[in-house]
Amino acid sequence: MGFLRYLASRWEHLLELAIAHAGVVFLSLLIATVIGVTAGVLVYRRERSAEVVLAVTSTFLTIPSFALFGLLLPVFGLGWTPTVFALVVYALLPIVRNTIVGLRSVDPAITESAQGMGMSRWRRLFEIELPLAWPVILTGVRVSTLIIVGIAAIAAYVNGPGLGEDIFQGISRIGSATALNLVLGAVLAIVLLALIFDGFFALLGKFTTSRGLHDR
Amino acid sequence: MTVASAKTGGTLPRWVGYLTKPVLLGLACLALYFWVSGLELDSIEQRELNAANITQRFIEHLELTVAATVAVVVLAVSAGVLLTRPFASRVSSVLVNVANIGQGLPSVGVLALLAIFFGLGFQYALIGLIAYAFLPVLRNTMVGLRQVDSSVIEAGRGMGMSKNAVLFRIELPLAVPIMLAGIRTALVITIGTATLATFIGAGGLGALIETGISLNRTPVLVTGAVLTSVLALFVDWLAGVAEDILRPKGL
Amino acid sequence: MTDNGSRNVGIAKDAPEAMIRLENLSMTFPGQTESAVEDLSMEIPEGEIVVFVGPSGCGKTTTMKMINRIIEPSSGRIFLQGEDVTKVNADKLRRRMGYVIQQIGLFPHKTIADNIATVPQMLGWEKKRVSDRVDELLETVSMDLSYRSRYPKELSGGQRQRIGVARAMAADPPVLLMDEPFGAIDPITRERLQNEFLRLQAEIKKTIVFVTHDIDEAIKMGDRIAILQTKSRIAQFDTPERILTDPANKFVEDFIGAGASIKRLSLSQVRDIKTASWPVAVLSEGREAVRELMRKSGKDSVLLLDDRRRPKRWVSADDLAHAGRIEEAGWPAVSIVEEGSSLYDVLDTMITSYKGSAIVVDGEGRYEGVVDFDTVLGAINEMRPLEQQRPELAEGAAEQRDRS
Repeated sequence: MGFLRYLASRWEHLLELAIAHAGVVFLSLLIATVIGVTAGVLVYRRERSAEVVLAVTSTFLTIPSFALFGLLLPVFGLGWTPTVFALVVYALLPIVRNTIVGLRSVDPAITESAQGMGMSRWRRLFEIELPLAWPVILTGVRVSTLIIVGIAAIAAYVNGPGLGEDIFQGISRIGSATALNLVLGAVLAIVLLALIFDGFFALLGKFTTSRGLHDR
Repeated sequence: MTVASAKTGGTLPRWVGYLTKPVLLGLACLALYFWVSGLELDSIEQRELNAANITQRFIEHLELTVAATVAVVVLAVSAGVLLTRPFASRVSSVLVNVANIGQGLPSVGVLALLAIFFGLGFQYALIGLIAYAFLPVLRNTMVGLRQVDSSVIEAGRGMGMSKNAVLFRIELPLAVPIMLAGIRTALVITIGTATLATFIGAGGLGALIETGISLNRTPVLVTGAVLTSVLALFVDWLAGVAEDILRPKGL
Repeated sequence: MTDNGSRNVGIAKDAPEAMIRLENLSMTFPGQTESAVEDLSMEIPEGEIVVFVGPSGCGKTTTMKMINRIIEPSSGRIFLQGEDVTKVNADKLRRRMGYVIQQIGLFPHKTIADNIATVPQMLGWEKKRVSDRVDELLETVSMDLSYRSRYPKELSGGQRQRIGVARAMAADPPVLLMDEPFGAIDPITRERLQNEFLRLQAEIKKTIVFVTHDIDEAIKMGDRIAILQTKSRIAQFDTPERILTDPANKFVEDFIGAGASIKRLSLSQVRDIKTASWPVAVLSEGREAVRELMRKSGKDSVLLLDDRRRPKRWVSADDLAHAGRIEEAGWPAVSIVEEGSSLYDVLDTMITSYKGSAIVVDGEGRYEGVVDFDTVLGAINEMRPLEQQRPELAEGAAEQRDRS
């Protein structure tokens, strides 16, 4: 079957898988962002704690994804749960690191003048520091997204959702005619998803960043 | 990837901080060993979990990793140097963007495509590993070289250094930390991707994990996963130490 | 004068009620053995600009930052309007004081209007009141209302400084704390901002604590100056005049630097001294009348005024004899100073004048009198009454200076 004919006949299936793939990525990102930004906010002023948090999250990223999925299997079983758990773990480092870097890069004169005006700690954090660190944090989220879009493909081996299903099917049929179509279709769809996510975050960045912060 | 903190109490020497990670990893291996030896293994598990098999998988994994890393470093660093020369400036920014998106490529997908086109086995797995790790290391090298302070370069040219002299005596030494980080990244990525090499017949520790999952044998699965993780973390630690030692003084 | 001795106290006699009172304030930064501020007590009178000035590291900024507890004192107490505020909620305390720092710290992600509105919004003012106040403040700092919706990055350094001041005054606090607010600006803009600020203060009469390292700025801006040595030890706490004419010790003398007398001159105005008078005639009276006046007065030259009594020309007897029309005789009178000019400006003008003198005019430009070098010298002499009249005191003061 030619590749294009293949696409024409299987596009609904691919779309279904793509939506599941996007879904699990998006959900994991959401959770990772909440956890990551909170962690960053808690430790950015403390040198030691920040180092510990960064070391731990970077350790997560060093562990091969296949190994992590394997380890989670006895604990969480198959399907969505181990997938989301693993993806969250992988998405943490860039988000935490960028939160810390972004918050630390806020001009101290700005935070001091805010403090001098009588802004409480919470107000300063939410009205001044986080909005100013937001562009950097968003970049971290973008990086994390790209990382886990790729890793999510491996989740299919533990019955996780997404386009990885087609890739592993293709692997099991290596030598037959359908293998190429299966794998190629899935890989292209994943790359497309990566581009869509990246574009989405680029737009999000433009709309949520104050005009006062855009480069001239 | 961040280097583990070397900060300890004021009285302990610096190198003690470096030992935390390997000690923890060693403990993890010991724990694994004792756990497995205490189990009743059935025939399949025994076939997988003996010293000979594990060692073989280990070696397969290392061979893949080392070969791929060396190739990637040579190719990506040279490409990085070439693409940061002035004549390539238009191409290079496009390439950096492509490299960024390329992070979204699924490693297992790349390996599978190669297997489909070329076949199974060690060499094709190797090509896949190289292909997958190429873009990240390329990007790191390019970013690093671009960061070398242009005023330092100008000073060098002003002193009469040729373009090549500036490259070799100023730019590359200053970009060494970035490139070391890139090598470290290549190692970590490659070890991770090599775990998947089992799917295209190249063995490696991933084979243990695969067998453990497909045959539903938890001890095999856990052993494979733990050993793979320990290996990855150990190599990362080693690379980090090398980074610190090889970093030019004054940077 | 300074009530010093061995205690570090700055209390102004003949001063209004204290708005801020500092009692035995000390501050040692963690990990340091030496204190940054040691046992400082001071009263800041209401409605005055008190300047903290001293060399780098003397603790002047630290002291100011203890007033609004950006830096918490290690010991001692702070009183605001009679209330002990050392331990109260710091955030609430700071909303009662305006705070301007050298780098200003405008919020880059908020519009100018939102920046200014920060404290009023925190205090819960309704929108209309906030908006009106923003407009009012923009006018006060001489900025066009169109700047409301602009962002800090679009403003020049001087403009940002003005907005910083406007923001500090937004909730109309009784106290303003300013840490080298004009330090990061070019000298020309700085002088303009200083003058505008002084005009503003004349209207609003806030209590201001102003930190600077520049003694000239301190003299220009301060109603009272605290010259601080290391650990914020008060060397002298007094009006600029008294500091210039009567430095308490060698440190103060050295800090004022050369030219103290010249600096002193910038504090006095022409209207404060006795001007001399000179024969004047109105141009339209004609040559004969002028000649007559000159003969009668016995002076060799006459100042000619126009019909509105504004000085026009100097003429000598010779000029009268030889010139054609009287309007072109002699030369034009250009060395003219207003009553409000400082003696410093007068000296400046006189140096390039005819006969080393300057003509004093009122606000409408009408002739008032003349000053020359002798007049000014006489005024300077009168400014050092103690030493002039009692030479033995002058000796004693010189001895004490050598000892401390």
